[in-house]
Amino acid sequence: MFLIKNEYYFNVLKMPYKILKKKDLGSSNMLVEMELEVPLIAKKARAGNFILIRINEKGERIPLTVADYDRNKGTITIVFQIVGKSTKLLSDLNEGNELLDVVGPLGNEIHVKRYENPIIIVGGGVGIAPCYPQAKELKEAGNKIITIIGARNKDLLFWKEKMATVSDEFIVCTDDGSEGRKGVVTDPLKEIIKRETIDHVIAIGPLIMMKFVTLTTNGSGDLPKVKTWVSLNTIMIDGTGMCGGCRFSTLDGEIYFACVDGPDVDGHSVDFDNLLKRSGRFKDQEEESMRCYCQEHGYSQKKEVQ
Amino acid sequence: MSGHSILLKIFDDNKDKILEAGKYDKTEYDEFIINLKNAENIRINILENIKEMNSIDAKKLGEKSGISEQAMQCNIEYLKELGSLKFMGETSRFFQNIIDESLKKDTFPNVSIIRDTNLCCGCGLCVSICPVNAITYIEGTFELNEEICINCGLCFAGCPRSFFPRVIKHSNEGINTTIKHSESVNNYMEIYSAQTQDTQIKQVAQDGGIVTTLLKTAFQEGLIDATLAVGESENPHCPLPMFVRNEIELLKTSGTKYSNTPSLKILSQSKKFNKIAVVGTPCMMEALKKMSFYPLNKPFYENISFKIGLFCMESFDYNSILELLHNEFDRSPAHVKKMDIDKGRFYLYNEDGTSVDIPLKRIKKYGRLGCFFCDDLTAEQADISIGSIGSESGWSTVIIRTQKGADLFERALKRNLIDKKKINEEEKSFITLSNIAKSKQKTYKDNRRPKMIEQEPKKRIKNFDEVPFGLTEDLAFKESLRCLQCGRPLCVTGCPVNIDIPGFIKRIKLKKNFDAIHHIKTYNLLPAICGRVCPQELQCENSCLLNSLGEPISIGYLERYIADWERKNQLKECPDCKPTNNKKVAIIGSGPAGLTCAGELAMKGYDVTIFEAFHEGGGVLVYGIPEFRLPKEIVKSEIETLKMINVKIHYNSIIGKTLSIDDLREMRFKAFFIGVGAGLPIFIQVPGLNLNGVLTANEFLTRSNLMKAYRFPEYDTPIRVGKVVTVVGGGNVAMDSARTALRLGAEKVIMVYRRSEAEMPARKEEYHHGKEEGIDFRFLTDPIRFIGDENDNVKEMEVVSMELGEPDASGRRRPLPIPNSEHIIETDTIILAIGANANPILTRSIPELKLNKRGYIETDENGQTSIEGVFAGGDIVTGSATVISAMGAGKKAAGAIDNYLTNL
Ligand SMILES: Cc1cc2nc3c(=O)[nH]c(=O)nc-3n(C[C@H](O)[C@H](O)[C@H](O)COP(=O)(O)OP(=O)(O)OC[C@H]3O[C@@H](n4cnc5c(N)ncnc54)[C@H](O)[C@@H]3O)c2cc1C
Ligand SMILES: Cc1cc2nc3c(=O)[nH]c(=O)nc-3n(C[C@H](O)[C@H](O)[C@H](O)COP(=O)(O)OP(=O)(O)OC[C@H]3O[C@@H](n4cnc5c(N)ncnc54)[C@H](O)[C@@H]3O)c2cc1C
Ligand code: SF4
Ligand code: SF4
Ligand code: SF4
Ligand code: FES
Repeated sequence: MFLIKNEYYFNVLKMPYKILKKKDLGSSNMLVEMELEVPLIAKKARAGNFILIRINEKGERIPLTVADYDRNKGTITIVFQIVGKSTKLLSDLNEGNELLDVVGPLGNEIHVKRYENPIIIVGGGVGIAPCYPQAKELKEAGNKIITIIGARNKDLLFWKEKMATVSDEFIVCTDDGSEGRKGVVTDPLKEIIKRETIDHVIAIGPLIMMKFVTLTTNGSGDLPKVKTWVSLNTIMIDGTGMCGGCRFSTLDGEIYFACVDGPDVDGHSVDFDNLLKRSGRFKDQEEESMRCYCQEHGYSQKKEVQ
Repeated sequence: MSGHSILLKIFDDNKDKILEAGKYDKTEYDEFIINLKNAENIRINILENIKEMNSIDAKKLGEKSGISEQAMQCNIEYLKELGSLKFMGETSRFFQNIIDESLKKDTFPNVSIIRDTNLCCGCGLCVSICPVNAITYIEGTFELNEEICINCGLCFAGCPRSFFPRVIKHSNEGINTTIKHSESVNNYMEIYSAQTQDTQIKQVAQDGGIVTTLLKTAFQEGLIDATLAVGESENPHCPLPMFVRNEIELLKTSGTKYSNTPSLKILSQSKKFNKIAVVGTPCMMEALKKMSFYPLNKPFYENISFKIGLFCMESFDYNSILELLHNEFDRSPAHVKKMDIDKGRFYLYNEDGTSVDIPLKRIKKYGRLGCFFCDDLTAEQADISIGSIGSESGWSTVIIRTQKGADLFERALKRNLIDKKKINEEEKSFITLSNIAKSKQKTYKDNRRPKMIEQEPKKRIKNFDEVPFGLTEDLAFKESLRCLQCGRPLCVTGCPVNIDIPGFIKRIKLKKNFDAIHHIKTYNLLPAICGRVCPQELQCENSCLLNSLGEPISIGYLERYIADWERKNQLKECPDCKPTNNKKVAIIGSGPAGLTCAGELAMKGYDVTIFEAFHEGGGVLVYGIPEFRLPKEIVKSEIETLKMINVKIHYNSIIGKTLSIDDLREMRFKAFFIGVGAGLPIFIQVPGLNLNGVLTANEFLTRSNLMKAYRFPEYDTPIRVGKVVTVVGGGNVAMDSARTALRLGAEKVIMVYRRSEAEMPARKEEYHHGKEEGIDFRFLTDPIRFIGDENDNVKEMEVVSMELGEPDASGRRRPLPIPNSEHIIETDTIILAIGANANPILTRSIPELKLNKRGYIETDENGQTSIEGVFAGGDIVTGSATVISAMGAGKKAAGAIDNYLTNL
């Protein structure tokens, strides 16, 4: 037994980081799901964790949240939206291809236990994916899960069935009403927290969505205050607390690192305005990088990609 | 001041021993102690004043204690060299370590260090000084009997080579307006070419016979009752110091013996006489002069009436003279009548008057190493100096320096014993003398370090190629010749891993480069790296004996040269390894600490695996230190060497995340070394930290180095530098950030540092490079606020000027803000490089691991942590330090792991 384990580790340490499955999500051509064979990470991964990948020798290190894991198969699932050169490059890889580096699991896992009151999980856009393991783990622990997912339009929606299986109540919204309720995710959120006592809210999605979720739950106005976790996808390099690139500031000016203090953090303390400004730091370069890549590969640059 | 009352105690405790030794009788002993006590009290007073004034200003201190500035400077120099001014940051030129060690034991250093470092010029003074006769001089060197020695340190303090204050060098005795000064021959009154008129003397004299004639005059006039001169022992040409009491005996001493003579060793016997003359080489004159400034041995020098100095280019041990005669002339000394140096040639005269000669250059190598440290040709500290240079054969050049000397010369003239011609400064003879004197000063000063050829600043700020190109083979060889091959090499004591420096330099000197690299690698597995990034100016080169001249051996350059030579010739020198013992050791982190520990263990036969969080190995060497300072190829190649000796590396493996220590235990690792570094950036607490354009040096350097953002967009990782980049900090990290910013296209790079230039911890060479590249250094400046525009992009930094206050616990003077000195620096990028903290990822995952308050791992001196089988070293134990200290820790831990696993 001992021997087998010992060899197991050494064997998996030598394995390449292979893409086992790839599929497009929704019908926007912008969302991709991939299953990676990374047994060591799969063995440890928990809801809330992320990984860093590097596609090739010249690639950046990009953080991606663990959207699902299968410990038996030794795989994790990632979901990403094509927004820039690196994600474009990643989307151009196929089943059977290998990534140069995958490291993780990084970041803190969420606290899973049986809470007294229901939990609301709000997922927006590509942020729907990381909601899945959180919902799953919390549901398995016996919690009542109310899920709200939203997107600009129906083409950008995905994992509806999958999310529904781990939810007790499931609400879909689109900005344009092409599917589910027309409107933003905070509309049903308001109704629910008015309706019943909620233990806490988990919000994962675009910064602007998370900002409005926290404004909804911060106890201002006539709504009760509800503890809210948000998941920060700041710019990262090492993911181990070394570079400080991922830092964010709280409203009272304290500095934290998303990679080691998060990624899930108390949403009411985050200075979203500062974060929104920081997130655009490398916009020019990112565009330049994308432009070069598209030229080299004969793509026409899709402006709507943001 | 502790040290100094100790001195009196030593003398009290050893009174009987001293009296028994017989140099001092009871009255002399008492007189001596009174002198010493007075001197000590003055020094205690000076120290108090220094503390009070918080400065070492000789003039002001002198005024305060009522001592002349000159005497004050002598005292200050003394205090400094004996380590008492360390609290002001003033340390002994090169004996501080030894002094610290002595002071720990309440003792003082002795002259064995002078001998062991080849500094000794063999004047013999210490033998006379020692109050208990612990020093005996035999065959060109002395022995110090540690059992007799009472550790009073008088010999060290008196030795002309431990230190020789500059004020003494340029002092002149008596106030005399006729004294002239020349750069080449120092102070003098007149210079003559002179010849004896005494026929007897003429026959035996070396040159003009002036020394003997002057001594004869002194005897005849009753000015002296003895002279300390040099005769010949039973071995031909072997000098024997002796006291001569009359004119007749004097003739025996005439003529030069080129082997050096510790004449002053018998100075302590001079008490028997009332007035003596001493004849000797420049170093002996220095010894006498120094002695007159420090009250170490009153009874011996008070009766010295005349100091007659001989010109001297260099001297030889008697054994070297024998070797010289044998090798160059195939002669035994018995067949040589006289030796002489004239017009750049060395002459041997045979009994029959014929002679043979060779160029002076050929005899250089037989010279005493101690002579290397001498810049005095003309015996500047004598009353009269005499030599042959500057006069025709049969004549001597005579430099009259003091009134005493002038009187004696005058009397000899009156007695018609001397014929003279005046030499003026314009004359050819003076110019010859002056040139040769300067050339001696020059060999001493010119003993320069080689310069590496470097990329021009203008060009290099546009690329990331390495700045210095390394030494050429010729320069390296030449530099190796300069090393003195010290018997007790001080350089080694300055090296954190105690590389046998003279050992490897000797191999370069012998052109055995392959042996040299092999030799280094038994001490240090990463020489190409250390040669480039070690702060040599604080370590080996600081301790190198030659540093006393300001130009230590370029140990770092040579280390780099030899490692580059190996790489260039693709001679991967694989260290010898023991056969594998199949015991598994896990190394966590591949920084210098981890790599060294891995290498050492692999050589001992262990099965070693490194786990590294990043996708590349090397730690700070790859993500921190930029390409232009340490090409990444080198780090790669050093890691390849490790792989060749079977070390395995797994990247992307964060221990504490990807794998736990328990997982590693399951993998049957039996011992662990943690070398995870101090990666966590520190932020200064000022408003505006989170503005865009404010980033840590870690982020900036990691993007540029590890992710190669400097080659964006070829590489995908972006980096942003504005027009004006301001770096906060003064260490290597700050320097590297600033120079990287320049290379990434910043128009202007400013570095703000809150202390002054002197305190800046960055490597000196890099600071120098940074200056050349045009970095704008703002010392004594500290940021207080970062100011942004409406989009939260930084646009200005508000700073305050600082001044240095009292020294703090670290001994460095604390910077304090100057009120109302706030001002604005316009800048659009701010890089923070003010230090790092422990990285908690691993340590948090092992709760039972004992940490200190600041989160660093606690270990014993061998790296053993609070958990059995778990060792640690490098920055995660010490906090941010240096590459070589991390390597030292890795090496020590490897030894401890070997011990642990052997005894398991
Ligand atoms: C080691 C040495 C190196 C010298 N190198 C140079 C040189 O490079 N250029 C130059 O112009 N002159 C040099 N001299 C001086 C020169 O050789 C003559 O000593 C000087 O010109 C005096 O000549 P004189 O005929 O007047 O002395 P003399 O009347 O012959 O008297 C010589 C005196 O020198 C003393 N003496 C002899 N040997 C030693 C010794 N080893 N140590 C101490 N005292 C000694 C004797 O006791 C004697 O009193 C050197 C002397 C010595 C000892
Ligand atoms: C920019 C810069 C310039 C410098 N310049 C000089 C200089 O000129 N001269 C000099 O002597 N010193 C210099 N230093 C300091 C010197 O580099 C460090 O003191 C030295 O590298 C420390 O070595 P280390 O092995 O302890 O740690 P590091 O070099 O920091 O290596 C630690 C390694 O461990 C890895 N690691 C961390 N956590 C984990 C984990 N949980 N699991 C697995 N791996 C992990 C890290 O990724 C890293 O590779 C400089 C430092 C910096 C940042
Ligand atoms: S130089 Fe003179 S005093 Fe100094 S150690 Fe040598 S012999 Fe002794
Ligand atoms: S060269 Fe210097 S050390 Fe040597 S004998 Fe002459 S004066 Fe002394
Ligand atoms: S390097 Fe300096 S201290 Fe070391 S042996 Fe050479 S000369 Fe002596
Ligand atoms: S990603 Fe570098 S500190 Fe968080």
